[in-house]
Amino acid sequence: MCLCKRPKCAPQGALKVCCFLALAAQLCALPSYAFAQDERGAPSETETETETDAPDSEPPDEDESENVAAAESSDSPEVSREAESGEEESREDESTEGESPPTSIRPPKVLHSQAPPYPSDASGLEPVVGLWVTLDEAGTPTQVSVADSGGALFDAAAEEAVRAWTFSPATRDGVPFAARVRVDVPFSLPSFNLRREPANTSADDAPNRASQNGSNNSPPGADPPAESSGERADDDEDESYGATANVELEALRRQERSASDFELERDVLEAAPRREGADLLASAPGFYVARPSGGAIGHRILVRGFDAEHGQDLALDVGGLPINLPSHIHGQGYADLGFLIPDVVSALRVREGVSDPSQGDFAVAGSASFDLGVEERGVTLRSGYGSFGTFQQLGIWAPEGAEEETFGAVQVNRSNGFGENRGSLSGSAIFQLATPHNGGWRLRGIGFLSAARSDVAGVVRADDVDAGRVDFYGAYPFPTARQQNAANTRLMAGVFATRRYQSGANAEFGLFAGADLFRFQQNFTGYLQESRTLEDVAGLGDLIEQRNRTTTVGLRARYNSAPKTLWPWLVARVELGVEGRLDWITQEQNLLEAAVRNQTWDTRINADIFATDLGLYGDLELRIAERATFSIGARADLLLYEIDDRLGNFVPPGRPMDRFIPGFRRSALGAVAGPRSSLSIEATDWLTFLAAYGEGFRSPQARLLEDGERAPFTKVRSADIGVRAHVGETLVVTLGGYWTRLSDDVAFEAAEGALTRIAATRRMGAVAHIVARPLPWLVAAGSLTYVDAELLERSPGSVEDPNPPFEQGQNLPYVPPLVVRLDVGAHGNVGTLWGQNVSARAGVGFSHLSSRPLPYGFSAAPVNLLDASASVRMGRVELGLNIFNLLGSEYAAFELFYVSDWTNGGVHSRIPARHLQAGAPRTVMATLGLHL
Amino acid sequence: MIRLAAFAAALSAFAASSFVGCIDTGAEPVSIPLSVAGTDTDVILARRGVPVSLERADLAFGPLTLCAGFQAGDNCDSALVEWRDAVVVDTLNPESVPVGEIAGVGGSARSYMYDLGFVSLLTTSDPLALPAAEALGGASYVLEGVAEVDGVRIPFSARAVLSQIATIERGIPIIRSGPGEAFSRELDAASAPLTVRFTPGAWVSDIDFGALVQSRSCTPDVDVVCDGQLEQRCAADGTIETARDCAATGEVCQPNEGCVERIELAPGSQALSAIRTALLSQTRPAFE
Repeated sequence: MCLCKRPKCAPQGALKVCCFLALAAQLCALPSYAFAQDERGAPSETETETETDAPDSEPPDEDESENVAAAESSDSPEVSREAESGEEESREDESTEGESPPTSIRPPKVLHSQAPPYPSDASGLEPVVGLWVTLDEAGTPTQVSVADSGGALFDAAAEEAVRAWTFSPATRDGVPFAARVRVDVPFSLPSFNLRREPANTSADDAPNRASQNGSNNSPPGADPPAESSGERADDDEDESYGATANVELEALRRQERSASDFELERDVLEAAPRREGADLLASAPGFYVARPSGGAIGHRILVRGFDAEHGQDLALDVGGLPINLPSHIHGQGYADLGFLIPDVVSALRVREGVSDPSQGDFAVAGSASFDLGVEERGVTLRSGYGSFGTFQQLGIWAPEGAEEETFGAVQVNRSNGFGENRGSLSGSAIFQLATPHNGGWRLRGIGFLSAARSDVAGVVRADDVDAGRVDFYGAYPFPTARQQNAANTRLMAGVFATRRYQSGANAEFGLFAGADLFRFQQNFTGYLQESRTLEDVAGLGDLIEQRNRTTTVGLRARYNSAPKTLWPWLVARVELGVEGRLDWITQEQNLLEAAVRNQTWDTRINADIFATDLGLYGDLELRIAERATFSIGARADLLLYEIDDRLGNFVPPGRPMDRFIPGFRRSALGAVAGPRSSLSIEATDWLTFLAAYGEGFRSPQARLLEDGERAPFTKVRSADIGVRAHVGETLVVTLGGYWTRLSDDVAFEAAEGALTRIAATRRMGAVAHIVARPLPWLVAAGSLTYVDAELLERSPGSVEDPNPPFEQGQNLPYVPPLVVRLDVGAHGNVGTLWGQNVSARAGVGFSHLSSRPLPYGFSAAPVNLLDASASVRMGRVELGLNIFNLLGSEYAAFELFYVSDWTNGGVHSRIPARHLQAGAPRTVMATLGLHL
Repeated sequence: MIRLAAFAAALSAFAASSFVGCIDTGAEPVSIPLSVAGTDTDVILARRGVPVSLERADLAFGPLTLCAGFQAGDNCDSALVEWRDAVVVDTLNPESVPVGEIAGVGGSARSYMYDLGFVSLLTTSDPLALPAAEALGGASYVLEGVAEVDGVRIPFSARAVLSQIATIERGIPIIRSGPGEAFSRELDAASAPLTVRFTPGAWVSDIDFGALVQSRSCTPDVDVVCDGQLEQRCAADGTIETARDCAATGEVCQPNEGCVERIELAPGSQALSAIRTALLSQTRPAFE
């Protein structure tokens, strides 16, 4: 199936014309084509032709080509140049790849095209009609069918026009053969003066201009930019109708492996307002994101039945930089996305479940990758002011002419908070620099630096709220509560190099490094702690201080072989990868007496950890009869820990003390391996069945390992099955079911502010996801995720509870069985005013969490959150209004059951009680933006 | 396609909402009626076979906590059910008296712990006196009775504060079931009401009431002595200044006090120690 990006039309002022006249002739899988994957993993064309289309570009580097053009209008001289170049490719392949030279396949090309007339009975629409065009050996259209309808009138006009076009035939080693191509025919209102595509359009410039969809300010009549999110727009020597390549670079590796893989593109991500970058995750099916502890503590993330806490079950990366921190004191795999500026996220790829061998540690519920890029070039400044003294300042610099991925962004946020003790101040800077796709190794450097500090209101007991002893948005009045706060800073940077080979092979190599400081002082339990260090010292307030410092270096490398045709119906390729990282971790946990300048009254943890994670994976991909793709792979990880646990043998006062030097020193090494497999069957050009199975893992908290222990990994087994239907990009529907089983799970232990192990668990459910772009200016995405999460066996006993309660079919608490998400966005030009383009944007995001079961038969009320935004832009100035939690829902962003004592002198309860942290109430933000 | 997707979504929503209502997360909250009761006590034989009749045996009882672990105390930071109040129990009344409900979560209780009107707190060094204890004049118990020592009727009374004083156990109730104590109770929504029944006779059975009968003559260092039930007030030179028979007025002679209606068991005396020991570690109420 050919899945090329939909041409993007941008109305130009009052004329509402298409900003470009792109003929997207997307070349699709042909029976004998060497295949490659497009960004969604479906086969697309093909590298062999691409470098031949650059008469004005630098000659291609010796053995690679970045540029993949699928259709160009050209004249005879260009055809002859391609033939020469094609011969050269074959020689280069031999010399560089050391493999048998691949078949030289050349896709069809548009030789002559004529714009279809705008149907006289149609009005007001500018659709893009997608057509399948079958060409014979002479390149003559023999059959035309509609792939994406733009309406009967437009379909008929497009078919009629394309039947009159002429093409060069597809060739294999110079021999023509019948082929089928996809042609997207855009219609513009008749007032537009059709212009020829400008000659000599640079391949590198094209994507930049095309990417300014909806915001291109070039005046009417100016040369419209070519639509090419890929590489090249070639000369159009034709006299009547511009034709421009519309083929993206093939993805470096197959992305779509299961029905639980989702890519959220920019239009969906931009539909609803976002407070911060992590909120983008909310648009992924089954996700719920909250930040109950303030702006300096990582978000809590729910993922289709997993309470992923701060990232323990979700592997996160931003621009290739891994965000999860191993053996973090606040939770395994702690990940704070607070640095992420939503405006620089170009796409979010979410893989729920485990199906890809590249998924490593913490990919238990799945993984999520943020791609960074800024579409609108230039300088953007935006200030926001709103409720609760919130102030945001954003600056983005995206140099003109540079790749979309090249940008720098700085953001500062300040807020008094929506309740007591919730003020925060944070800042982050992100930069990324990418070299063009013009040969050789393509380099991309990325880095970010962030710092944040926030006061933390902490938890409040629900019974205290009900009794009016504390406000829902408030904090307890005691110093030990008012001194709750958090601070963090993080620096990460990485350099990633990719290379594409003519043969279809590609390679990637990356290095990254980072440093992280986390400091948190929070009181979960009130006044329950006693000092283990100082005799007869107790009840000074359970203000736990956690400190964690991590220094990380790592690398990742991968080689994806060229497709190898084993039989005419079977093509194989192999990927091998390695990932490794070293982490130096220092962590402490103490109890502080808030009333006396945070003096320490007990010390609980003091440890150094050195952690090594070396992961190796391989993946064999078999493409069968052009309709099925089967991947079978495996991943193995080796984890080494060296632990200096300086309080490991601590003896409380009053007990006999042997002769020893305090501290345990241990080391442990463990290995874990598991298969990853997937199958996709393209039943039709628009319908794909997907199935996947994989086994992943979560590494252990190193401090709890015994000497020589084989690092007891949490193993996850994950299976998905589903179906995905595409109607171009107008409608993408995914229906799937999933099943995951964990060998052991973890639960939050409030007394230590950390996670403790419980028994095996199982999640099973279904998901429906729809993305619809029914109109050029409208996008809607919705998902519905159902999960049944069960504890499979009795959790390990303890002295306190040797036989924890367990019943077959016992559900996991805190997991909402139903998560619904809806994003709707609209944007477009609305006219001109004072000679300036006026565009508008509006969007809503709605999240629904069904009633969540809580321990002991309680349940949390359903959560309904509606965010809305609207903005108007005139020329360089943009005014916007964002409203979060428009419905004013009073909801708990976080609820837990445990024992606490906030009586401060009364008889405290030993029964686990319901505690909550409030979610943000209605928040209004007004923004003023300048685009320079 | 849109219809298909909409239908699937609606179907999923319906299925999901159907399941939402029947989620079971294990243990459920329980609330069990709690009563207290005493024992119909006749004559108790104390040390040396001294017959004792109790006339009053009020005990400040509570809070009460039932725990899942085999040992309460340090290992019961998180309990199953608790009753955080305290009441004065007339332990001579065998009738069950409802005092409220013991509430928490279901499970198998294997140990218990309770206080006697005074709760040790982590936040302060002095225990917190609950209203029940204050109703007893700031004591955990009040006992009144009559012992017959060698045919002599000796009315007595005893009161004391029993609270956690061990610094290492601050915050923990003073009375906990021991590891060898086979306590077991299933707690669920169908649990029968819980009655805690006390047997006060055991509290006085180890008192040496014979020690309450003093047989002493005046000496220069004392003011009042008892020679049996004969009160002697002593002069400075150690001679007897006055003497009277307490029994003649229905009183009893208390050392250093003289004739009184009842002997108040003195702090630090064997009698109070015996009661303390009995209450804290020797006798346990019955959980019915």
